[in-house]
Amino acid sequence: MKIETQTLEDNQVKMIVEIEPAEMESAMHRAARKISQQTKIPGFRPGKAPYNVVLRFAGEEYVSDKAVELLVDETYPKALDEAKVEPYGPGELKDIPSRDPLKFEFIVPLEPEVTLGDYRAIRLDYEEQIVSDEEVERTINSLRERQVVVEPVERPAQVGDQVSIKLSAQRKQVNEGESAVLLPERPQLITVAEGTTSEEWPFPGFSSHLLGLSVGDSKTVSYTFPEDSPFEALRGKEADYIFVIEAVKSRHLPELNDEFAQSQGEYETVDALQKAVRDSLEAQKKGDYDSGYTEKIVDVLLQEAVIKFPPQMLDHEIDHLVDDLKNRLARQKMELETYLKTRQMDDAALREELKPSAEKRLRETLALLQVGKAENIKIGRDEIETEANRTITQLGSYMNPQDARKIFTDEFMQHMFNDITTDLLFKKTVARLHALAKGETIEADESEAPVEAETLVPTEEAASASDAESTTGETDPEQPVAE
Amino acid sequence: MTTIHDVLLRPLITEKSNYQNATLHQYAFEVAVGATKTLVKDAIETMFDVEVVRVNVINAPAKRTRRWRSRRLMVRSSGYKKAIVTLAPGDTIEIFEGVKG
Repeated sequence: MKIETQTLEDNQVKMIVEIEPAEMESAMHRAARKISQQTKIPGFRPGKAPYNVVLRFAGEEYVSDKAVELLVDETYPKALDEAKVEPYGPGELKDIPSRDPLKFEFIVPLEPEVTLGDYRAIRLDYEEQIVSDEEVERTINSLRERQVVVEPVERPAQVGDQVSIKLSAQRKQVNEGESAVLLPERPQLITVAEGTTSEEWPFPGFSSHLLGLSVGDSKTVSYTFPEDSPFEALRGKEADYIFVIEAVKSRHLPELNDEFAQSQGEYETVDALQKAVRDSLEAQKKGDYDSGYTEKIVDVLLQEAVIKFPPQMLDHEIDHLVDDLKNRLARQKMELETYLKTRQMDDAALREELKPSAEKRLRETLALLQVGKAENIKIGRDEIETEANRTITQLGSYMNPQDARKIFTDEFMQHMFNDITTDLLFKKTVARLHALAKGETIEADESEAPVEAETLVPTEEAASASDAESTTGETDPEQPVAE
Repeated sequence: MTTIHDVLLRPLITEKSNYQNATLHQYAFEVAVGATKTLVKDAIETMFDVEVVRVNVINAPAKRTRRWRSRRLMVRSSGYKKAIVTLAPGDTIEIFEGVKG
């Protein structure tokens, strides 16, 4: 067996393997035996026909084809071994350049190569997120709004009242092609606000015109839309708004006291409610900011990193995205085909469209995994177990025991463990990156008594979570090549 | 009349004949029902240009079986005459040797 290897640009290796004639000969014999076992040759029991009888019966070409198939399956792992090539996934038999002597040309995808820049030197300013009292108040007010009590009253409208009016609008100047009616007559509920706010409808400051009016009153207001109005078509136009008051209702907001706090859930006092609101606002803000922060770090990380991966990996990632899309569509009771039809695309176009985002995701994943490796981030067994227990209780809480038993198969558990390990790994890596970017100094720790994921989930597929494989799914490097 | 040109019907290539060929240097043929040992010997010597040492002749009987699905239907395989020819050492007949047949 003679092997020539050539490295291709996109992280693949071309192997040309030459087979010696003696090996071919023995493969022919083995192929013949196989054929005689599988086909019925008259006059012979299955598997008993001698070589030359099989040759004559099946034809030499057929036998040698089978022999080549056998040889491909046999030589591929051997060649990998000998050439010291570490494949990422199943290779491909590209070509058989010559039959005599027999030569194979394999294309083997390699493990992705990630060279990180100096990621430890990445520094980004981190802003602590502070929630102001105003924000808390606004949230609490919106909570109070939900419990508002509306009551019709017989008095002129005041600030804070809810007024129902019949509203219509006319343009003052009518250009060609436009109808004079800007708004046909329709009922409208308007809350009289204090001063002028930009959220008012139909225009800021409208509700102030309602002040002091009683049921049955009508009024015409003209308004010129300013140049910076959000309605582009109406900028600089004048319009008359005509309305009749139909009802005035007072709005009673519940008072902000301990009773209200208790009605909102398990809060004893107003203070407790305020604190809870503040906490949740803070957490939300922090979460939003953090994810943006992570994105920034990863962007810098990617800029500095050199990442090489075989095209198969990208295909795999695209597959994932397509699957994701399928799942999302399924939740909307839609099939991928119908979706594609509505967008007038075919499968290939969809894949093409997903390609950039898939590539980005893949690069991010690879870079983060590499950071995890470089930082020696390990997941302890107890961490996985706590996480797993949590998931199980969560699942178990809304499932009856029978269904639960059905779903908790070994395979499922394995998947779950895998997911959890990967998840934790990513979380930890991101946390470490945050810490580094904030300028905290951390030595790569090795003291954490790590339990490799392998010891937990011993299957091939599981591999270790630090391996790219677990994120990209099932690959078996030893798998025979697909022709 | 049977002549040497229509004595030999076809070579019999089976597991058994293969064995005889390999260990005893014998070749099996299906021959015409009216063939005799001499006729077979002459036919093989002229057609394959080999020396025949001995000819054994067997009448393989016709066989009947019942078809399993439709029990009344009888399946019949006709009988034939089989000649087993022993060649002189060193002589071979090509058809048996493999590919070129």
